[in-house]
Amino acid sequence: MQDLLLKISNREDMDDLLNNIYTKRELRPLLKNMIVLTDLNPEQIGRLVQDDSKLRKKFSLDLNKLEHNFYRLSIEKQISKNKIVKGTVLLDVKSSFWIMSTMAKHYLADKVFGSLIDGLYPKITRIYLNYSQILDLLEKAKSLYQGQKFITRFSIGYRNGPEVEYMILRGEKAGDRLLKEAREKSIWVKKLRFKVINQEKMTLLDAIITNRGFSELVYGNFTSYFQNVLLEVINLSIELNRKYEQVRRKVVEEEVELHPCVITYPKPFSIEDLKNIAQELRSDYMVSISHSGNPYFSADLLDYYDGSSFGLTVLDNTVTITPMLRTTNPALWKLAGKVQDLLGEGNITVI
Amino acid sequence: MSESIIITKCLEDSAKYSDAVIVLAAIREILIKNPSVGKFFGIERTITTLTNEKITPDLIATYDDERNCIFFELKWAVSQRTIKDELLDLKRYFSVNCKLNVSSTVLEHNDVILICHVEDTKIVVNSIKELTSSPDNDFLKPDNLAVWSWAFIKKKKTSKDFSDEMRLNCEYGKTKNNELEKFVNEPGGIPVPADVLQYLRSKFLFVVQKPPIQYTMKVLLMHVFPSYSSNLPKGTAVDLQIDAIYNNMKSLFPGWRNIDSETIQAKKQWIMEALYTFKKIGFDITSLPHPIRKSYDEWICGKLEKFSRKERRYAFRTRGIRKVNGKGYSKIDKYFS
Repeated sequence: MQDLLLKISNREDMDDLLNNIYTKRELRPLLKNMIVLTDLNPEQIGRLVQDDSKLRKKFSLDLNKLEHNFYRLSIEKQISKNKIVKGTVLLDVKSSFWIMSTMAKHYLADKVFGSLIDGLYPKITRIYLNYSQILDLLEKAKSLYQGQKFITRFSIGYRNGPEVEYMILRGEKAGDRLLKEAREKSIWVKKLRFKVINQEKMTLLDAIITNRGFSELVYGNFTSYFQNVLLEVINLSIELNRKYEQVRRKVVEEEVELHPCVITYPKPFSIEDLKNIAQELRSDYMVSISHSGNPYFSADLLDYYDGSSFGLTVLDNTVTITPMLRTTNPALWKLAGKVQDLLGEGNITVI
Repeated sequence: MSESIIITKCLEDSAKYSDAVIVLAAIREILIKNPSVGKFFGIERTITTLTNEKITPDLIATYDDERNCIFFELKWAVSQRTIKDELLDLKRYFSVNCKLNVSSTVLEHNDVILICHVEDTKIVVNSIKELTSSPDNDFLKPDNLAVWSWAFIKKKKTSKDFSDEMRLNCEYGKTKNNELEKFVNEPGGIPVPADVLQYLRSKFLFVVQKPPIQYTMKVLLMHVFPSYSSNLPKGTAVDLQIDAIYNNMKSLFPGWRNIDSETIQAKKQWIMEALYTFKKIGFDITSLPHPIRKSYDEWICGKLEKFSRKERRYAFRTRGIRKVNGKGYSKIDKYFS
C-alpha cells in the first residue's frame, strides 16, 4: 500500500488515488495526516538532517518535488543495528504549515515520522489543538455537511488527584457533555472520531483528529476530507498562530510592554495538582523556580533548543506565560501544548 | 558551614531577590491603580537638591499636587552586621530641599519608607530602636520613618483549597500621607495585585540594590546567553562585549530609562562580576548546561559551592602560632611593663 504513494506525481493524482481507495469498503491502512508548523522550504530538510549529528545517524531522506509546494519524501530510519524501516510521505505546503500524508502503519507514522519532526524542532513544530478548538472544528464540519447526521466520539483524559484517568463521550450530546466536563474539571481531548451519515444512512466521512494535529481518514472522499477537515485544522492553527504572534515583550517609546498568554481553567489548582509540575517541565526546559506551587507556582523557563525564555506562573485558576527577551511562535506552541498536557486544557487568551 | 547549608542559603538569597522584584513591581502597580494614594514618579530617578546634592531613591511617589513625596527604599536582604550603617545612610533622604520637576514647587515634606522581608523586620526595628537612643538619629523616629514588610501568606479558600497571597504590612512608624496610612493599616495590609504575581513580575528582573551573584548569573544564562549561543557549534569562541550585553538586557533594569552613566557603569559591573564568575567555574556559553534533575538555581549554587570548596582547599595555608603555656613565646605585655 505504501508503494501506491510512489505512483503519485501531482495533487490531481493524489486526489484520484485516495478518493478511489478510501471510498471502497475493503481493508487498507488508514490515511494518516500530520499537520506541522514550519516556515522551512521542504528542500532544506535534507540539509537540516545532515547538519544534526543525532538525526544524521538515524535518518536518510530522499525528497522529490512533484509540483509547486508539493513533494514526496522517502524516509529511512535505522532502528537497530540490522533493522531499517522505510516509509513515504507526501508533503503539501500551505502557508506556514505542512500537511504530511502517509499510508504507513501507526508505528511508522508515529515513531518514525513523528520522531523526525520532534528532532527537527524548532524548525518544525507540532501544533496543539485544545478541546474548544476541536469543538470549533466540529461545528465548522457540521456547517459544511449541513443536513447530515453526525456521530461523535471523544476520548478525553482528566486528572483525578495524582492519577490520570480517561473516559469516552459518545452520542449526539457528546459535545455538550464535553463542555460540561471541561467546566467541572481539567480535561484534555486525546481524540475525536466523527462520522458523517447522510439521509440514506450511508457514511460520507469517517475521520479521527487528535489534539496534536494528527488526523486519520478511515473512510470517505479524500477531497472533501482535505477541504473540510485538514484545511479547517490549518485555518484554526493560523488563527492561533496569529494570537501567539502577539505574545511578545516589546519596548514601545522606551516603555516595556508585556503581552502574556493566559490559560484560564474552570477551577483553581490545588497543591496536589502542581505537585509534579516542576519535575515534568524539567524534561523539556531549563527551569528556575522561585515559588514551587504551594499553591502559587512561579518559574522562569528556557527552551533549550529554541533559545526562547518565558516566565510561567500558576495562580488560582490561571496559568500565565510571559514572554521574555526572546520569544518565538514554535516555542509558544510547544509550551502551551506542554502546559495543557500537564494541567488540562483551558481557554487561551492574549492580554 | 556544611555544603547543603551554603547551597540552601544561596538558593534562599536568589528567591528573596526575585520576591523583591515582585515588591517593586507591586508598589508601582498599587500607585498606578490607586492615584488617590499617590502618583508614581519613577524608579531609580536621580533628583538634585537645591544644594546640588544628588539622591536616588528606589522609587518615588508624589502626593498633594507634588508638594509632598514618598521615597521608597527596598532591601532584599538585611544583615545584622551592616544594617545600622544602612539605616544611618538613610539620612540623605530626610528634609530634602528640592523640586521634582522644573515646573513644580519646592517639596514641603517627604516621607521615607523602608521595605524588607518579614523575617528581617525584627533586625531592622531593633536596630532602629537602638539607634534612636541617640538624639543625632531622630530622623529614624516613628514619626519620620516607616518600615514595611512583605510576606507570602496562605489564604483558605475552601476546606481543601488554599490560595497564596503576597501582602505588604506596616511594621514600624508612619508617613504623613493619610490615604496611604489608611490603605496599609487595613487588616492584613495591602494585597499585591494578582497581575503582579502573574506577569508584571517579569517586566523587570532587577531592583535597584545589587543582586546576589547567582541571581545575575541565572538571568544571563536564561534570558541573555541563548540569543548569543543558539545555532553556534559547541566550543565556538563568542565575543562577549559588555556594552552589547548591557544593551541587550537593559530593559530588564527597572530604571533603565532614567539612570545616569554612573549607575549604568554599576549595572555593567554586576554583569562583569557574573561573567568573571562564569569564567572561574569554567563555563562555556556555546554549550548551555541542560540539568535535568536540578533547577538552574540549584545547578549554579552547586557549582559556586564546589568552586569555593576547591579554592579553599588550594588556598595558601598559614600555620597558626602555637600556644605554649609558660615557655616558648613570651607574652607581648612583658615588654611594656
